[in-house]
Amino acid sequence: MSSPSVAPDAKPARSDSAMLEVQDLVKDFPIRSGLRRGTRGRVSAVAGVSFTVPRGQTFALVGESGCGKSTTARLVLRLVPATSGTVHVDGVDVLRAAPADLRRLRSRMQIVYQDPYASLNPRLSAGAIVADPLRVHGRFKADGPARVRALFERVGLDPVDVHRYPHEFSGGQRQRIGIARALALEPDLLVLDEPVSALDVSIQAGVLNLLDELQRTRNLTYLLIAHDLAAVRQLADLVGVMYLGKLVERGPADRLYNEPQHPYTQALLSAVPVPDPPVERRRRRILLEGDLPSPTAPPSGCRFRTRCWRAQPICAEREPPLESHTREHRVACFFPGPDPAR
Amino acid sequence: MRPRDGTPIPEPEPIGPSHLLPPADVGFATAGGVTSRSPWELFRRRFRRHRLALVSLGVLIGLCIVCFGAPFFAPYARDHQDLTLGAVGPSWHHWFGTDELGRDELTRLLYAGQISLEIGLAVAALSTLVGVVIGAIAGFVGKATDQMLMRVTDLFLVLPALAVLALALEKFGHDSFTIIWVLAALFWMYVARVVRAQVLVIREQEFVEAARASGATGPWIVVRHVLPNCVGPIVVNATLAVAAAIVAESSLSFLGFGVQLPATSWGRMISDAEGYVGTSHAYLLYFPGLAILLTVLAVNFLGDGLRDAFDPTSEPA
Amino acid sequence: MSGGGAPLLTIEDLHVDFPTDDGPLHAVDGLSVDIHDNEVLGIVGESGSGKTVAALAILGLLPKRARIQGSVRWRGTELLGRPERDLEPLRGEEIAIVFQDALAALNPVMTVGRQIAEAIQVHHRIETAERARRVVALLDLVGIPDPTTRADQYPHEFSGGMRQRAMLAMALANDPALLIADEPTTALDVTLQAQVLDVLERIRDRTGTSILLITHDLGVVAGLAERVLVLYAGRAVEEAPVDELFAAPRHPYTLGLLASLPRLDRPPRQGPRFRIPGQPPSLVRRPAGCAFHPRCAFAALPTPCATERPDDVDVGPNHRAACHRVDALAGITPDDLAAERP
Repeated sequence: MSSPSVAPDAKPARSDSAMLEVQDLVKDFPIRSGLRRGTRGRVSAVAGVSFTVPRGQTFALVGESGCGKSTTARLVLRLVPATSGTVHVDGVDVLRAAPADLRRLRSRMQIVYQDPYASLNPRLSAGAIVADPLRVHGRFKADGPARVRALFERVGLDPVDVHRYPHEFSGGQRQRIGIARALALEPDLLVLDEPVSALDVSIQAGVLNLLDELQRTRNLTYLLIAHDLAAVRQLADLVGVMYLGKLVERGPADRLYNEPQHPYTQALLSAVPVPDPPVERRRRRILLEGDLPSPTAPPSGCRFRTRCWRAQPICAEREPPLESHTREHRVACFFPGPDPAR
Repeated sequence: MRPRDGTPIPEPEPIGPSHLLPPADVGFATAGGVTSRSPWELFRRRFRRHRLALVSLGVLIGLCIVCFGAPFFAPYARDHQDLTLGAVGPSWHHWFGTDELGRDELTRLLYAGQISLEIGLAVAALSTLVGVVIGAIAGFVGKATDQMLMRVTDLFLVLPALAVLALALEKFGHDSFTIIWVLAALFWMYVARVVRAQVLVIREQEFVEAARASGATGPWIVVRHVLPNCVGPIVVNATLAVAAAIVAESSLSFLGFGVQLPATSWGRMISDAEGYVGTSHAYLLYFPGLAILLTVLAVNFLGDGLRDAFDPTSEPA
Repeated sequence: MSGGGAPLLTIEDLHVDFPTDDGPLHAVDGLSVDIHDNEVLGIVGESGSGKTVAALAILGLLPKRARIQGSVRWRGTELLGRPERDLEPLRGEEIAIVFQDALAALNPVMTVGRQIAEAIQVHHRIETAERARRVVALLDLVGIPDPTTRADQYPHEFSGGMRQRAMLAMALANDPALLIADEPTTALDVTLQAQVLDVLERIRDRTGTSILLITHDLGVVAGLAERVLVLYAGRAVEEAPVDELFAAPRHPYTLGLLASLPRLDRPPRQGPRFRIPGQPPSLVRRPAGCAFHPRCAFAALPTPCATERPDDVDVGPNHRAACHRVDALAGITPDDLAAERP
């Protein structure tokens, strides 16, 4: 990669207060087997994840399948019960909120899904889908239909189409319906679970632009789950890289993209193809050996050591903590360092 | 020349039904659409393609009309007898012949049809209602509730139907009202299982989770999001239940446990004519039998058509 | 590296239609392309472009209700309309095809070596020892370390990346002249993608097998292909050597696509990213004239762009574009377009 130019701040933080604060979040799944369905072990899908997202910014949680990023997103929204840890949204403890408070809290944090086909009820019209959250909270009576039409316009859909059904829209349009639904309750926090990965490339730009604009105009905070590192760069202010349930690197987006310190981050970045033939031909891809270890039996010490070219005996003995490389940029590695492929 | 900026480019019309495209693995996401089509309209379209089902629907509607409209359609009064005539075969005056009391067969068939069809439809409706409620709760709530409800279902499934029916009817009476309730009590389990299976699948869909994320609670989600997506199997099962109920009622009546005189049903008519097998009056058996056969076949074809029409992935005939 | 002389595969004016309630769906609408010996051709397109349908048409794998017209010739012999028994010897032996979900094709109860050997056996009678040698050579070709031992292992003993490699080995078992890889990296984790790309590179560099690479990922094409064909709405809109396509595209769609792509090696721009407005057209009711004109910033309206289908125009050596306005695009690069506000 070329040496990093000075990247201007994408979005100045509007406020110092943290919109989302996650501390030591853990999610274990018991493995049941045998006739008695006794618990035979545990799978740590999320094994102690911590991060903070200031208001108005985007935290991109990236990693490959099985790393736990989607589970983390659902834990934050309390769609899945957490085993331990805390989640604070604008100071409010999400995981311990009473049902009535939770319902109110839910209206402040919404989710946009990856799959524009499965995330919309095929039996409801697009307008009904967007209106559903309003109805649930009893906010539809006042000016519901007008609100729905306004939301359609906001996301770039023609309000005329409120009566149409999901299957009549294209993938990109369905994603916009999903975004409109997420905006219906005017949330402060949006969890975006791979919002564009199921869309065609030429459509992705449009949806990302929309999300970017919404963030600026409404000061939204985003938790962005993704595996496509190139696509999220436009939105991400902070990035966290997950591997097997843990964060291995975390920091400002520019730092991570330009100076990744953790070997896994480096491998990930090197594996993303660049649409530029001379550049692509010059690049050397880091090929990781072996497979993702089974989450039921993660390697001792550093979880990445089985595939890491820098692994040393110490890596098997102790687990590297997420330490500061610079003030904001943290790495969980005993041998962090520049990318050998450059 | 530089690209224009600012001028809005018109979005093409929304696309049409994607399920009419070649299967997803040939890489399609868009197709042409002429008009807006709700799932209901799509369903009607697909159904219309199934000619056998359409004919069957017509037959069934026709049967219902003539049977429930018997006072209007029957050639003779309900209780009309002609003892001097006795049992004669089909003739110009009596299209389907007469029985030993000189009663017109066609008239009897129509009035008997009222009972048979009534029982069939009512049992289907009742068992579907009960089955949907139980299946939905079991499937959606899950865990202990599901286990308990499924054990109850299993219990009912295990009961020896005929024995239970016979006992119940002896105890509670042989009128069609009782028959309906008792039969429904033995049918609901099948619907419950089908509904539960569907609910288990739908429950995992993302749009259900999205509803939860919006703050919706169980009942809202079940009624508004889950059940509407289960309509297909429910309707198909309900249709088949009609056929099964009619046959069950016929069997009951044939065995003598069903409707008692003076009420009559098709099964009862067969039972009454039992002694005529192989005689010249065998037509007294055939016509009610044919009526049952016709109804059951029509219902089955209709069920096939409905099933195909609800299933967006099946190929057009 | 591409050979001259008679092409291996010639597709001429291919049309594939599927009947629907609203009229025929034109999946492929006049596609013509040649594939030569020992070359890598990348076919790029988004959903609805017809790329997979075209690939299936080559091997006669389309469903019965497809209406196919035109010509597909393999070494001069017409393939379309041939009965199954004539096509079967071709499949797997001369032309191999690997699909996106190749993983599912490995039989878990047979050793990998045996499965590859069977693939050979179907087409050739070779004695066991020779066959075993071939198997080991193939595993080595696709980059599986320690191939002699690995040949006797079962799929579950292979890592995910190695299974992908094994699948490709199976496809190459009979030394096909052409390997069709349909979306080989889509839906794979980035590190797995890197492995697949590595194998394809090895195939390109070490064997004489031509590769027809079908993908939507321009980054993949940039690294692997020598020549690229861009499809839109069922026809080829541009064909060029890979470097030239990326540096100096001459069709507005290609230009727009490249301009809207995020690049990992560059910091994100301020403000919205360039996007191609609108969405892919309905394949049942295609726009009149050029299928891309409703979304084209360069369209000359109403004529000729909305009324006449553009023919192929030669814009350079081995570089053609189907556009009425090629001259207007000369000298405009994707970067120029991306720098404009959309």
